[in-house]
Amino acid sequence: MALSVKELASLLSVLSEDTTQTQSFESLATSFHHYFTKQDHFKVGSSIVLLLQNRDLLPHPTQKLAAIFLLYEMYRTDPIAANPFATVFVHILNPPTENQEAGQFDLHWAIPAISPAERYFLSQLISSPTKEMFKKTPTQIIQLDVSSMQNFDVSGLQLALAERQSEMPAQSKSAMPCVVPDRDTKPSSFDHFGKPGVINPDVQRQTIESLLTGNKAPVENCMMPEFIRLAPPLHIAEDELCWMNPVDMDYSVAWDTTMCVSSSAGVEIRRLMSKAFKGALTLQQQQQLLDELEKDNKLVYHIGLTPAKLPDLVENNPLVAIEVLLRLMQSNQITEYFSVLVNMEMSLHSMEVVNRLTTAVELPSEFIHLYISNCISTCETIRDRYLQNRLVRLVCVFLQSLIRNKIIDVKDIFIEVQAFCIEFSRIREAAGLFRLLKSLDSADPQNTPTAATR
Amino acid sequence: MADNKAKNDSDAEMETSMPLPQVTESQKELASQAMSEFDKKQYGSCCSLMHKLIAQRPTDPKVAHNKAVAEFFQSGFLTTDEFRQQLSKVCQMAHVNIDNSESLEDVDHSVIYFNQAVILYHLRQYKAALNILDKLFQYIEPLGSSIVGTYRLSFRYTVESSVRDRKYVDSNNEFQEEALAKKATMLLVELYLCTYQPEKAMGMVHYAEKTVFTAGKNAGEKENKEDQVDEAWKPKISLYKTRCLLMMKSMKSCKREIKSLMSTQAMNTAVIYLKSNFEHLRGNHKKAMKMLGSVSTSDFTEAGECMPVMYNNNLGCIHFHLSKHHLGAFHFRKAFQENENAIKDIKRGAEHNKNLSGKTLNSIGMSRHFELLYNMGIQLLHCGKAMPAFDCLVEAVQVFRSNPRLWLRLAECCIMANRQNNDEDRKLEKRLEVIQGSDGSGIHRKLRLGPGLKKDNPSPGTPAIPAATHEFAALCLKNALHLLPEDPLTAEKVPIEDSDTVKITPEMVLVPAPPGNPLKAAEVASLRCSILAASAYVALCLNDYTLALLHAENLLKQPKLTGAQRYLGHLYMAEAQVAMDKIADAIQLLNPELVVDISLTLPENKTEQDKSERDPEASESKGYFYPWSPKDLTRAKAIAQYDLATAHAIRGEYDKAGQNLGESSSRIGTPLPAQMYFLKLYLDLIEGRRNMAQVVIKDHFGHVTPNRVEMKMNSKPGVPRPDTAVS
Repeated sequence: MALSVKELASLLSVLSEDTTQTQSFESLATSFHHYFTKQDHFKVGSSIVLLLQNRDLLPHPTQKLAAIFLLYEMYRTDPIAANPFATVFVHILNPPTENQEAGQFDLHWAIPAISPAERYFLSQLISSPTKEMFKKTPTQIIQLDVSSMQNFDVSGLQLALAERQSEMPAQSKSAMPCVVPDRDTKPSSFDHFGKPGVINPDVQRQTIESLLTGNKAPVENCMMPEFIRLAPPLHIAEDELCWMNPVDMDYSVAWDTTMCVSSSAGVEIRRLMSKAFKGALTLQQQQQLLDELEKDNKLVYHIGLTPAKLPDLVENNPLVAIEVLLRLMQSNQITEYFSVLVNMEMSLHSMEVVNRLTTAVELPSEFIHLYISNCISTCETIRDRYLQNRLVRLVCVFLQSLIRNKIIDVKDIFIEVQAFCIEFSRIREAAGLFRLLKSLDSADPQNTPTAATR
Repeated sequence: MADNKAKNDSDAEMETSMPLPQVTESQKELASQAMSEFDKKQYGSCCSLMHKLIAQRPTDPKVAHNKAVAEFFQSGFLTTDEFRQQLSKVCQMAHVNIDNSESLEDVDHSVIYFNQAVILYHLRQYKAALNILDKLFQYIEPLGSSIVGTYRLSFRYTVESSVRDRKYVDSNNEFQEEALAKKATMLLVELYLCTYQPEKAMGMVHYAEKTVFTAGKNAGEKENKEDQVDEAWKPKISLYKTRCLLMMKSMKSCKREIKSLMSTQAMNTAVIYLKSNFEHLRGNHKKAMKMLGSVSTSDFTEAGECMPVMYNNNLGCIHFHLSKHHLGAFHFRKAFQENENAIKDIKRGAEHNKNLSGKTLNSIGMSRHFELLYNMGIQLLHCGKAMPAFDCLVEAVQVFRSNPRLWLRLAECCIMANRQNNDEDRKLEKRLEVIQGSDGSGIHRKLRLGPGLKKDNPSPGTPAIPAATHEFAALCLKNALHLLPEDPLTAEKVPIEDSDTVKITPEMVLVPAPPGNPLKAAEVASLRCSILAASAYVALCLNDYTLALLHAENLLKQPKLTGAQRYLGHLYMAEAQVAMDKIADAIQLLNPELVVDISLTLPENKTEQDKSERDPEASESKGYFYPWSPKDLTRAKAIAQYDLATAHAIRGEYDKAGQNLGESSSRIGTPLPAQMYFLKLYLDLIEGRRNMAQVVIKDHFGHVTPNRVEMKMNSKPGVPRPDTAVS
């Protein structure tokens, strides 16, 4: 943002007292554009504003006027309201009044007032510039007598700017330049004796350089009211650090105690089981398997039956499957076996297994319900008419047996089964099941009081 | 597909295992001899027996397995690499995929999986070990459970064995199988504890107590051996329970458990450390220290842990809680050194070996490097050393990524690195920034005011690269917030009909905070408040006012806020609102009369019993671990009032601003914060009270200007103006 020393020299040469007194605005513009490109304009403009704010840095009126003109010239091709320094023009045309009685003497941030002639020039510039204006020199403008001339109307620009500013948050408008004039009241060196308030060109040049050039030059900064932002306190936790306790355990590798003891029986069983997954075993083989299982209750965990393999076993050797499942009842994996069983494809064998299981042990009722729903939906979705009839008959017989054996409570599945019976009423077994349901349903209200009286 | 493949695998397994030759009587004899040698810890002779056996049965995976085990024991657990290789060879022979615990289908392979889990445990790959054991437990658990007990005497493979000896081996076998179940259970509990899941661990302990370890009782009195075993496990179970309870911070049950432990094994180091931990958690720090001191610190425990490291670390924890941070840091540093030394010793012993081998299995995972870094980092942060703390924690967070509080601590390091404390504004060095200097001389003398204390220097590079910047802090805080369970405030959009469930569920959830104990619901709530406050602050520092406002609003909505957090919430919210041009709202928030409480902790709502349990001297140590300013209500109010003045100034209400500034400056305490000089100068200069400003400058920043203001001049308007002097 700050200017380089070379750029500053160029700018000051354009704004020098001599040049501004003798050259026309046109030629000032030409030499300005000779030095600066469009990208430089904003930072040059900012520097010009800083110079304008300090009366001693652009002491001559022609310099000031030329500076104001350059602010205009830089953005001449844009509409005036889009000029980033348009607010400066408005500010110059309506200078803040200094209320001296309230102890206000010196607004360091304000640009000093300008003469009526200059005002006339500026307002014409921003409202309706003519080519002739640019042919004049700043000196000519200042000497102009404008008392009889009509002022140009700049309220349009003011309005546009006011509107744009109202959209900006107050905070962004609260900044103040951080360069404050602090004119020495007493001479600070022998050179200054007897010459109070006289401009020293060397000191002036030095001051401008230190304000406008270099790293973090004051021209880049501004000052605005700032909050005291308190950092939050450190989080308070009562138990945060890692306390260390010795672990009084020795976790070491274990010896495989089943080495060489898994006798022929174990191996034979596993061989039989792997066969059983693939096809039906002979009666003799089945018996052998069941005998071995009978001998050792733990053996069932060693035969390599996983839930995933259960459907194969059920399809090929339902009897073995029942026997094995009964032995697995105590396992904590039994629910996994059940869920596989419930979800496997419905068949005569799976139904047989479930049926046998229901008579042998008490199965969770939700399991049975799930299975029944599964059966019913299988019957409904199957396409093959012959197979369907066969399956429906099976399901009906199965359900009748469940109901007769009081393994399920009819009430829980009444609606579902009734709908099933009606859908397949063409099949004799379904009609039979329906009658059974009806008889139970009508008998039910009488049954209950008798049960209660007992 | 996967199922099919698994099926094929096991089919293949059946086919290849079939040609496994029958076990002859002599081989059986060899095997049982080897086992009894192993039991007698005669690993040398056991190894030679195994060599004979493997020569006869080269394709038997179990023989290969046990040979590897025997050799590993024989080496004194020094050959971990070799053992792992052997183990994977065994897996190939048995057609087992050790990396996939899902493939475990056969209890016969459970020992292999168990051993793999043991190795993983020692390598501190707890999650992997846990995966295996979780699965293994399903298979192994029925073997050890009491159902089997009744079949104790019906031995299995008696068809061909009539020898008395065999009977012994068989029943012993079953005993061994149960032993494996017990071992697995123990390791499972340990792993749950290592992964900070105390509830699961406790559940497992309870379950195991009922089933696995009571086998003997169900079987009746006929087998004394069983009962003895059960007794032997009892203290271990009690130790586990205590550790679970400590981790869950349920002090009452813990007290009972510890009491019974102390009555039976008061000399056990582990027990003493647990007791000390317990006292420490209760706030009885002196007692805790005494307990620690009572243990003679031999260098290593049997499990290969370095006692001096633990001793110093725990002393550090205690001093941290006594707010003796520098002493705490000293002990942590010492623990650190001990840890380094211990590792060095082991490495030296292992130099000629490759990789893992050369260290005993127990000492592979011995280093507590990252836990110590974590403790050290937090301790240093409380010493006010933000940068060293940051360096420690940034390393620790790579290991303990799931700890939301650790992420907050990292963010706090960043915050502190950029603002040491809130009194920083009052330092001379900050006040000197108000006027940066002067340029020129004579008529051209200029004062350069500072641009303010706010620093907007965007950090170079991406915030994802850890550095103590606000950008990185924002990232940390985001992580922290994500790691917390969903805010009950935002989650509770469902109508709260059954208030019971709503109340209970947050209590149940423990949020992991490794390597510390998991967070309870109350701690999560307070952590959330701290994270939100820090997030709002960091967002302000990054000029992200929308986000700051969001966090501040969220903070103020939290049900349990400390006084300080509410106060800060208001300040942050106001600052964000001013930036977003909602100054009227901000002015209301900044009313200094609203500041009524700035305490850093929640009001104590402990029950009477809780209080009486604690040592009287210990109770005061809770709370402030690190000083925070403003310390008193007056100053806090003054700061709010200063901010109020700022808000007025921004709105152009200079009279009100000046009035509030004046009042605030008389209460805020000296030295005044630099911001106050800024605002004072700003107000004077913007209204053109140049002389007034000069008085302030000359009084407070006299070195920058030679120009004294004669007070008389104030009444005389005729001060020569620079521009009149020219021309």
